[in-house]
Amino acid sequence: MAASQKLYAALFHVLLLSLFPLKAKSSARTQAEALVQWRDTLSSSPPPLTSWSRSDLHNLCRWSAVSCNPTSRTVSRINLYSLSITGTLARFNFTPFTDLTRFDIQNNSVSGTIPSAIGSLSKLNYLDLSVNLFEGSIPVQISRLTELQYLSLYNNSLSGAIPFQLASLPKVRHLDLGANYLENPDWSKFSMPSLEYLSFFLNELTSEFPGFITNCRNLTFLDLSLNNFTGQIPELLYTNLGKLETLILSTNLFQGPLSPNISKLSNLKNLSLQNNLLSGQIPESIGLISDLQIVELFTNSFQGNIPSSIGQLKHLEKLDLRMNALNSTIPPELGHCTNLSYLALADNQLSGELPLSLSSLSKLTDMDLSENYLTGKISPTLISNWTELTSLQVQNNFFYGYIPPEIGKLTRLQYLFLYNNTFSGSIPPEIGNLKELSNLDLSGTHISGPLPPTLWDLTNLQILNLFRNNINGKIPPQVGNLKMLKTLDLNTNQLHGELPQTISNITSLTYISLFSNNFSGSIPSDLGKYMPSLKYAIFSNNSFSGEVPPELCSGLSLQQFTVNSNNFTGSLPTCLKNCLELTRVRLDENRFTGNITDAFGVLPNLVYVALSDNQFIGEISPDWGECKNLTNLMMDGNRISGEIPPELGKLPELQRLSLGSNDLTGRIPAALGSLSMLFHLDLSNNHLIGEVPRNLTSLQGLQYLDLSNNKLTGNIPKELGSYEKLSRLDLSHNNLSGDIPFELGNLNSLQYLLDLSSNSLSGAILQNLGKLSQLEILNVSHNHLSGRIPASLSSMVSLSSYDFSYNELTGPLPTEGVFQNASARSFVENPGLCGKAEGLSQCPTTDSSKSSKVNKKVLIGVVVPVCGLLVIATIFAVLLCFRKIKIVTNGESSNSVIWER
Amino acid sequence: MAHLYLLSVFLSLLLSISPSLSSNSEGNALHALRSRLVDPTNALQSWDPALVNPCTWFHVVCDSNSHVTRLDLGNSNISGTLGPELGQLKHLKYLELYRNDIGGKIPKELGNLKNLVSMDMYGNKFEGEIPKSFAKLKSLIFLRLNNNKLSGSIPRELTTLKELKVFDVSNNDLCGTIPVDGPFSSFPMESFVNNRLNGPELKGLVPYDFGC
Repeated sequence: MAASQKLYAALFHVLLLSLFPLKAKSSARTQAEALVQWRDTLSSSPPPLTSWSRSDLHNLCRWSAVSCNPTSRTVSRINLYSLSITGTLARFNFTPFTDLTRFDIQNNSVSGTIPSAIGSLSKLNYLDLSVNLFEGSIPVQISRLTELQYLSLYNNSLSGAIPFQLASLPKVRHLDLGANYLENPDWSKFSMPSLEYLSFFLNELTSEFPGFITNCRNLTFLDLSLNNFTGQIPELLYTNLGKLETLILSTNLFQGPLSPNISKLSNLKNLSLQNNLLSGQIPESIGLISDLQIVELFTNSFQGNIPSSIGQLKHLEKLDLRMNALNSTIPPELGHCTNLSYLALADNQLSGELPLSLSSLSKLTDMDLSENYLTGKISPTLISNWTELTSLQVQNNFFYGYIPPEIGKLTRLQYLFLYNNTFSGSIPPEIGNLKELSNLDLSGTHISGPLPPTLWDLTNLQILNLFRNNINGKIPPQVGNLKMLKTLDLNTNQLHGELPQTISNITSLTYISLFSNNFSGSIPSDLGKYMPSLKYAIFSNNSFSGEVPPELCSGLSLQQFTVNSNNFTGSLPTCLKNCLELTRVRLDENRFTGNITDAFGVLPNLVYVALSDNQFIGEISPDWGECKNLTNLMMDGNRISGEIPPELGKLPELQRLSLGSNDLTGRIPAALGSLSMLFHLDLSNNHLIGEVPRNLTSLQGLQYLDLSNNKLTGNIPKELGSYEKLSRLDLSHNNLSGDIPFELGNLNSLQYLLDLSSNSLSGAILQNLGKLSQLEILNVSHNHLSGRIPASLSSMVSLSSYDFSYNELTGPLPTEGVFQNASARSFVENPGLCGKAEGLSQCPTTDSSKSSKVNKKVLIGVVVPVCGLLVIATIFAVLLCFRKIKIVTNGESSNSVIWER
Repeated sequence: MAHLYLLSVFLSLLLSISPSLSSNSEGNALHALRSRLVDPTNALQSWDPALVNPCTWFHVVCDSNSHVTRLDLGNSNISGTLGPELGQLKHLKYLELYRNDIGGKIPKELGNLKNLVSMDMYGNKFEGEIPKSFAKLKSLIFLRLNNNKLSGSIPRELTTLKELKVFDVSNNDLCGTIPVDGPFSSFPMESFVNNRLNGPELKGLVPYDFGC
């Protein structure tokens, strides 16, 4: 037993010994097999990996993307970057790769989680998994890679907290976890003093500034941007991180002032703190950081001066201080930064003139001084030196004077924005030299004169905005040269004449706005035919005539079509009903004719439609009820006939419905009562019959209701009294009968008008109307109202006009308030009415007790002049009778003078 | 990687050069007003600053020259405050903001509305004093500021408003005496009730802000 045991032991020993050399050999083979095995799991493996072949396992070290350790003949490096690999690492067997020092699969499409087995690569010093599709959390096993110096997991979809175990990687110099969805670890467990490069860019970190960073004294690069870090930037950062060359803390929630100690970062080249909540002054000491090349402090709340010390930064290339609250002038010292190529000071409260010293900034390519209070002239000296500029933006300031002709020297300009300043003079012809220009905006600059002919040499123009100026003259045929033009906005100028035919050839045009000019003639008939992307066609407020081009909307991209207030005739383009993108259509105040019944189909995006004041015929299509976004439908002042389709009641957003002054017949559809957003309803001047539908009273937002001049019958619904917001109510010129409902007195917002005139209303005027204390115009004339005018009406303190004439009112006029200076005209043809108003009969003194108290003096004072007047009147009448024959031919005209209406 | 793509879109939006909008000062003033107001029922939804002028906005009425003459925002369930920019609506005749929930001070710039006929701000939460600048509103006929939280005295300067026919400051927290000159000779006492006012002014004896 013992012998056999010994034998086994010896055999085992031999076997074991024989395994040792074998192990080294088979390890290379295992590695090769592992690689091939993994390659075969990839759903897309690139051509270079075809050298990974099962038949060639022994040539592992000659395979592409693989390097071997020359002594051990095993894999030391795997470099698979940018090979369009699609797959996962799940079946990558890391175990055999004991000598691997570098694993780089950057920029592929490797997905899934990072396998925890990666922790077995114990000699790894370089791990780059960046720009892939890894998800899940970072495996804590990475912390076993104690030789790691370079770790980049940049731009994956990793989530969860950053494992604090990373802190046990003592040699890591480069750590990039940027562009993931990582969350805060417990920073107090972190300590990575060897770090030279650290990026947490674009994650979901929300803590205060991680304290461990201020102990990374070898850091040269730090990027914490695009997180939600809060609190102040710690003072220790400035004192400890003197080697920093790049400091990027942008787009976080850092607050507080920027410490003057910033100057201790004496090696800093790039300072990017934009998009935070930093406040206070920009420290003057910033000028001591002499290597600075990039300073980005925009979108903070910095106040006060632009430090003049910035002038000491001779290497400065980019200075961006936009969107702060800086309120100084521009320091002349800035002109010493002669390496500046990018200068952006926009959207501050900077004032004063541009210092002439800025003319030394001859390397400037981008300059944005917009949205400030800058003033003065744009000096030719400055302009002449900025010949490298590609973008010049000084819009929204108070610059004045001429636009200098020297602008023509800026031949590299692509963007020229001078809008909203108070320049004078005209557009310099030299602008035609700016052949690279793609965006030109001179709108709202008070410039006048004609369009220079050279403007049409700018064949790269995509946006030409010259609106709100005093530009006159015509658009010449050369406008057709601007083949790249997308936006042409010349609105609100004094341009006249016809549009040239060539404008139709600008096939890229998406936006044309010419409103409020003096254009005349017809629009070229093929406009739009070759413009598949035309979205905005705005021609309002001109004197255009003729037909709208029939193919204007043939690209079916049209969103806004506004041609109101012109002299257009003819019918509408038939393509309109297919333009499903349309949001706004204004055709009002033209002389369009034609049948609109089918001119518009179901246009789901339509918000605003005005067809008013044309000569359209046809009927209101029930399809309008399907335009669910419609807020405004105005068709008044046409010759539209037929009935009002009840489908209009299906428009949940409709706020204004104006169908007045047409030839509409039938009844008011009760369905209109469902228009809960409606505030303006005008159905006046039609031939509508039937009663006012009682359920209209669910229109609780109604402010304006005009049903006048129809043939409506029945009573005024008492429910009208519940319109709390109604400020104008016109039911005049109908055949309404019955009483004025008591409830109308509850319309406490009624202000502009209450017109019930020319109906067949009867009964008394109720006291309750007196509550309408804000009403300015009241008309109840031409009815059959009877009884007295209630004294309560005298408290309608806002009344400026009232008419009670042509009724059957009786009794004395109230004498107080608004009736104090009553004019007879407001009461005529009420035989029973009496009162002091001139032309009314005196009220009989019925109250005897009162009359007995009348002082004798007063009685005499009244009787004597009255009798006197009577005597004089009699004499006058007699005289008139004698002279009647002489004036009979003038009788009518003198009558009309007396009864002036 | 989608993450970074979104970022680049975001950045390009941030850096893109915004085109200038067609606008006029009255439209800007109204847009500024909108930005100060809270509008839960979307009464101001149509106030689109991209439109040329505000004349097609709902509750805004213009004259034939596209100048804003009326602002009808009574009973509109809006809150927030007013700002100085309202004073830019030089052609405004009717300023109707009654029965809302607007607070803060009444901007003194409203005194620049030379053509104003009617100012109805009753039934809000306005506080502070009635601006003295209202004395410049020479066309004003209706001034209803009742049911607010206005304090201070009634500015004597208002006695120079010859056209003023209706004046109501009842239900506020005003103090001092009630003017008696000019149009104030004819306003009923109901216009002044529920304040801390000390009755009509006794000229020469008591300062008008007595008791303030």
